[in-house]
Amino acid sequence: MQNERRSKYTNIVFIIIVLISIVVLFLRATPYVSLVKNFVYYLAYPSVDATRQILTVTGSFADSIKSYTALHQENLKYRRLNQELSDRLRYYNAMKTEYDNLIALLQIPKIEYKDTVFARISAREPSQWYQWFIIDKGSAEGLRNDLPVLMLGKNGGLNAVGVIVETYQHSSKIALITNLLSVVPVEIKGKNINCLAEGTNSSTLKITYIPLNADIAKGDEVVASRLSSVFDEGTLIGVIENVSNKPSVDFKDATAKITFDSSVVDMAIILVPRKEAK
Amino acid sequence: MRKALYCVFIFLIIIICQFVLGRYLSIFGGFPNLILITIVFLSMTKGRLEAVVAGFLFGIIWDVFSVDIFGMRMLLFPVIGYAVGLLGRNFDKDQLYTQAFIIFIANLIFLLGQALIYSSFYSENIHIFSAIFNLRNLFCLVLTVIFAIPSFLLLSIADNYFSKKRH
Repeated sequence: MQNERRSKYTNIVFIIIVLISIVVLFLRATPYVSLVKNFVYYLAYPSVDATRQILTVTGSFADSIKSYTALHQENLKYRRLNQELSDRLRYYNAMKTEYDNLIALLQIPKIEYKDTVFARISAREPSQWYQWFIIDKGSAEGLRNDLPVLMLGKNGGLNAVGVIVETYQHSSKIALITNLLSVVPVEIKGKNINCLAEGTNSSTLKITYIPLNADIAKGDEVVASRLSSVFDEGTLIGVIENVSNKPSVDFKDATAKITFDSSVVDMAIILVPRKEAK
Repeated sequence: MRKALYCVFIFLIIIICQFVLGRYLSIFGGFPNLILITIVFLSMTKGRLEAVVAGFLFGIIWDVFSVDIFGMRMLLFPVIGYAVGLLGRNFDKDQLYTQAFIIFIANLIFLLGQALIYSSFYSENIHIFSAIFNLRNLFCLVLTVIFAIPSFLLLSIADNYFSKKRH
């Protein structure tokens, strides 16, 4: 009877021990045990070797702790950055509100907010070099007809190149300001002389309707006037190269050299007014 | 009290012999599995319960000292203790060749169990038979069988000594 009871008790103990062992096996606790063991070694005999073992022998567990620490540090860094950017955004919004209020009070024209779209020239025929080209951005990128096309000039500013005349989903056709059909209302910078810049299918523009008594000289900059419906006022169009001396009744002509480098143009910039500015 | 002292004494002696002497007195890179011998001895002389509990405790210690899978020996030693306790009923325990044979079988179970657990946890590139029947393991098995006879003798002497004191 006693043997039977003992045998039963043995079986229960055996099953419990086996279950515990299986659970421990499936917990895959080796790295944790190694860590504790090495830490105990370190406490008993703190040496460089023991420290190295804590950090290296524990394998993936130590790696996890290290990556967790690195992640935590990175998280803290981005939190700080986020806070800084949030502060800046709040400051910007406050400034914008103040600006809008001042604009309303002083009744002055509001600056349009514009998005910049960079496009690559995908097609340009040599026979129509100064007339058209195709860019690789279209309506899918927010472009539409009559938007101005610019490029960076040697002076670092934006120079007028042309206008979008046809828009497709992922391409647009640009009519250059040098196109024979192009006419841009311009003015001589700093002299308040309004005239027109007409394309000639070449690298020069014909500046027409210049008043006879206007003081124009070689080197004067030609910029878009406020009458232009495409280009912003002051956008550089060209530089006066030659003033015609032909006798005329009311007006005289001049030629202007375009300011964008037509031979190397490969990247166009399109300024798209934001919806909120409308 | 005497029994507890006996258990602690045997436990400490075996641990020291296995892990301290085993490191410095290895025989051609191998050392007999004294823990396995002790578990088999306990199973044959004291009973399955003592063998299972001792196997579990020895297993924890060995798993902590080793750098491989934690829990492997904690599972294998109690299983061996239990199995030997069941099988040992049918054998004449006092015969030397019986003891050697049981030790041999227990060692094979131990190696097979190790190989199975290894192959379960590290499935990549583990071949069970090459893990069991490599030269080092076979040498350790032979050493364990050889050392089993004097170890049994020493353990019996210690057991008798503590038993006599108790009476």
